[in-house]
Amino acid sequence: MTSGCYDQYGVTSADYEQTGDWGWDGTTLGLAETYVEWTLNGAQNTAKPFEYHTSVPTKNVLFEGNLLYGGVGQLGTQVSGKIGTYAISSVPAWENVYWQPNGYKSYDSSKSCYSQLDGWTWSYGNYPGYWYVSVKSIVYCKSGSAYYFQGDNALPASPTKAGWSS
Amino acid sequence: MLCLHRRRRLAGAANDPQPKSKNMSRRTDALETPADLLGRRLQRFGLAMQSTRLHGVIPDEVSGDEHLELLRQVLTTLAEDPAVPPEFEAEAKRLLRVADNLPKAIGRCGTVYAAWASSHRRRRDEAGCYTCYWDQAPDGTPAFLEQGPQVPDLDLVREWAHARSDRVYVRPAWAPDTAFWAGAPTLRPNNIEPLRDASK
Repeated sequence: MTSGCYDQYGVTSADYEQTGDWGWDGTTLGLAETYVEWTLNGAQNTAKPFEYHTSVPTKNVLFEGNLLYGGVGQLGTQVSGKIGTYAISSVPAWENVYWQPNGYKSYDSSKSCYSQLDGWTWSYGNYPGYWYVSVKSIVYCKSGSAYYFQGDNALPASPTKAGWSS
Repeated sequence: MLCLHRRRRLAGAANDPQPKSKNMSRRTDALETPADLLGRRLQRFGLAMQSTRLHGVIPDEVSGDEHLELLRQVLTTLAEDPAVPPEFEAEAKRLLRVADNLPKAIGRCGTVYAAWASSHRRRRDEAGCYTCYWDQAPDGTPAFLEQGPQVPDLDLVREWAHARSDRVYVRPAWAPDTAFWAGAPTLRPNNIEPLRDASK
């Protein structure tokens, strides 16, 4: 069970905060909290802080950023060559960890509207597979020479996901 | 104000296949494309390991500088590798100089965008700062040229920007949602106000 919240601050800054239990076979194993803040500058979108913590020690924690083009209500199409990752081998319980040193940056200006796709995956103990959370940023579109967020209801389709995968 | 468009190539470059980097720009022309060509020549010369190392740090798309430090390290290693012949060593050293001074290789052009970034859930050890980058447009198709420093000092940002372009947009700390013009007055767009000190 997860819950999250988008906020937009002005037209160039927005964030998403998510909290949720995760578990295995009906048993809750931990609580995960993720946070990402996006700052637009020209055609660049910086995700920083890009943050994660859980209530139990986790391992193989992977932060991932990517760029989608598409407008409000659209799933978005991946822009090739934009994927970025940051890995941490183990994270103690309740320790906030960040994509260091400067978070994830995406850049493209060939399309009119974009959303940045950011995600976290982790594994735990001897359990198989991994858990994941992902979030698409508020849609941002070009106006003049720069891009601007379109409002905290201006979301792509399927803006968030969370679950387990093998 | 025109960008330099340097195309320094080693002999035989005209016969090389398409380079790895797909988003061609003055930046990739100056650094990543010749680095890729150097890697191909190393491969042809039988230095497969050195070639693989070099290709491993050149991204398919250059839309940031995250790879730059690793590229510098690999070029430094190549320049000091006794197995690398002098002509390739010289090219590695030349590319290191390019990596260390991209504005010199690219020339003044394009647009610099700078914006104040201050997290709404700021970490206790982290103050706000400017984030800035250099874009090729309008002197060519929009393309990333270089990432700027992340510093709280606007004067440093302006200094960095003016070394690269006459077109500079700044969203300052005191009005982070509003773009002001810090470039050459004659180039200021009609709808953008000039940047003035916050205290005035």
